[in-house]
Amino acid sequence: MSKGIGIVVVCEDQEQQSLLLRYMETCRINTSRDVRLTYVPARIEGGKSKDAGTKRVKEMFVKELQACRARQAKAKTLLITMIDADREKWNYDTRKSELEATLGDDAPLKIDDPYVLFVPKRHVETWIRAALGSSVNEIDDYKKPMPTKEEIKKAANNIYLWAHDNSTLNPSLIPSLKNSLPDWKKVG
Amino acid sequence: MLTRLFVDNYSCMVNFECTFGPRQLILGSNGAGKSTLFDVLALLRDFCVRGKLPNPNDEFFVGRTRTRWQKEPKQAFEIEVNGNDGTYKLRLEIDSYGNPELPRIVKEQVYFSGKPIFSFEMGEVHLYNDFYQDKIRYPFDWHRSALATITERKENTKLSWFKRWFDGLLIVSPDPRQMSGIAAQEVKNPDKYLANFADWYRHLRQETDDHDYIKDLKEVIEGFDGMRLVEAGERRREIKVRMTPSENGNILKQDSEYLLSELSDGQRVLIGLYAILHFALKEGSTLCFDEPDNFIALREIQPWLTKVIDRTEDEKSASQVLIASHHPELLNRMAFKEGLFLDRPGGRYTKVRKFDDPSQTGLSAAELVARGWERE
Repeated sequence: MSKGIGIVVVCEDQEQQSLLLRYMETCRINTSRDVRLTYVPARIEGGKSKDAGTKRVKEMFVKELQACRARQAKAKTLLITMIDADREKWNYDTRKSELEATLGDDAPLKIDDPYVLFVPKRHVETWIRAALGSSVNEIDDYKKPMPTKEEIKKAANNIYLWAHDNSTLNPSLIPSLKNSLPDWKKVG
Repeated sequence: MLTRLFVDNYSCMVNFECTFGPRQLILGSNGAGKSTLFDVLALLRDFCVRGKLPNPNDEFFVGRTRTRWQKEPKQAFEIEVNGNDGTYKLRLEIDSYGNPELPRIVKEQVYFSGKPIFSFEMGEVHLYNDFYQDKIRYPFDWHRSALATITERKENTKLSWFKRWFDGLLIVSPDPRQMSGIAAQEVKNPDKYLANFADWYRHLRQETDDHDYIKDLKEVIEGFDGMRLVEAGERRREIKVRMTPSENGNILKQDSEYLLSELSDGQRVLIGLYAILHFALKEGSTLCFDEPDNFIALREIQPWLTKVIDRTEDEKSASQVLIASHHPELLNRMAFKEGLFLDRPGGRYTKVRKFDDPSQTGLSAAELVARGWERE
C-alpha cells in the first residue's frame, strides 16, 4: 500500500504554520510527503482575519479530528492544532474547552484522541521571541516586527532541544511554552 | 458504450481489467496508468480500425511497450462494447516476429453477443456474415490488422457497426500550444491534442450549425463575439475570433478579430472543449478526456463539466464520457459516484478499484486524494 500522509495541521495564520513546519523539519519529518497543511489565509493588515482564523480553526478542528479518529484504526495519524490565547482571560484550558464544545456531546475529547493542541499566549510571536531567548511576557503584543524565516527556524530548533532535553531549559521561560513541551515531543 | 478493457503485458498493465459505466472519472497518482489506459484504447483503434501500420522505429506495440519485468513476449488486449442490441468483444493477441522485429498478430477476433463475426488467426482471415456463417477465408499479412482492411458490405452490418463505433472513439488531451488556427484540409475527427482543430472546425462548418456552440463560448469567454473561417491562401482557411471588449457593461467601439494563436491558452482550450461538447459528444459516442482541465481557470471547468454530465444523462444521446483528471472540482463532483482509482502499489503493475473513503473520514474526495488516504 502506498503511504498516505500522517500529520494534519490546523492553525490560524501563516506564522503559526511556519513555526510548526520548521519544527517538523527539525524532527526530520518529510513535510512534503507526510504533512497536510489545511488552508491558512494570508494576514491582511488592519483586517479582521484573526477572528476569522479562530472561527476557521474551530470548524476545521471538528472535521479533522473526526477524520483522524476514523483513520486511526488503519494508520497512525496526528492532528496538530494551534490557536492563540490572545485575550487575557484565555489560556490552554479555556481554548481546549472551546474546541471541545464545538465537538458536541456525542464525540467529546478522549485521552487517546490523535491530536496535540498548542495554545501560545499571547500569540505565536510571543513563543518565537521566547524561544530565541528574548525576555517576554504573555501580555504584551510582539507581532511587530514580524519574525524572519531564519528566526522562526532557530526558534523551532530551540523548542526541539528543550522538548527533548529539559536540562537546557531557561527557568524563566513563559509558562505557556514551557507547558507545551511534552506536546512538542509528541510531534517528534 | 465501452464496458470493459483487458490488457496484459503492456507497459504497467499486467492482467489489467477495468469495467466502465456511462460516465467515469479515472483518477490516481502520477504514473498510476491513467494515460496508459487511454493510450491502449488509441493504439487499438488506430491499429485495428484505422489501419495504422507498425513501424520498427516507433514504440508501437512491441519492444518498449511490453511490461519491463515480464518475460512473456505476447501481449493481449480485449475490449467489450455494448451497442447495436448486443455486446461486441474484440480480442487481439500480438507477439513479435521477424528481423527487424515487427508485431505479429497471433489472434484478432470480434464476437457479437458471444458469436464470431470476424477472425484472423496466424495469417488466416475468416469472414462471417451477419448470420455468423464462416463464408470467406483467405491468407493475410500477419504483421498488420486484417480487421482494418474489411470494408462495409451489406452482409457484415454487425461488424461494420463495431468498426464505425471504434473509429469514432475520441481521446482528447487539449494542448493549446499545438492547436492550429490554419485549416489546410477538412478532417472528420480531432486528434488527441486538438492540433488539427481548424481542420476539424472547417469540416464541422460544412456539416452542422454552430449556433449553440458560439452561444456557449459567448457565455464562458468574456468579450467573445463570434468565430469564422476566412480565406488564407489557396485552399487554406484561417480561424478568426471576434472579440468585443466592454467597460462597465458598455461595449467599446473597438471590436477586432484575432487569430486563434493570439488568444490565451485557456481561451483556446475552452474553444476546443466546447467544440467537443457540441459536435463530438453525440448519440452512442464514447469520449475520453485526458486532463481536460489543464490551462483552464477554476471557475470555467464547472460549467463545462455540468454540460458534459447533462449531455451524458440525456437518455436520447446515450453517450459515454471517461475523464482522467486531478482537478478538485471534478474529483468532488464525480469521484465517489463514478470514480475509478488506479494505483501501482510498489511501482509495479496497475490495479483498479472503485474510489472510496476507506476509513469513512467524511472528507471531500479532493482532500482524500491530497492526503493519499483514498488508497489505504
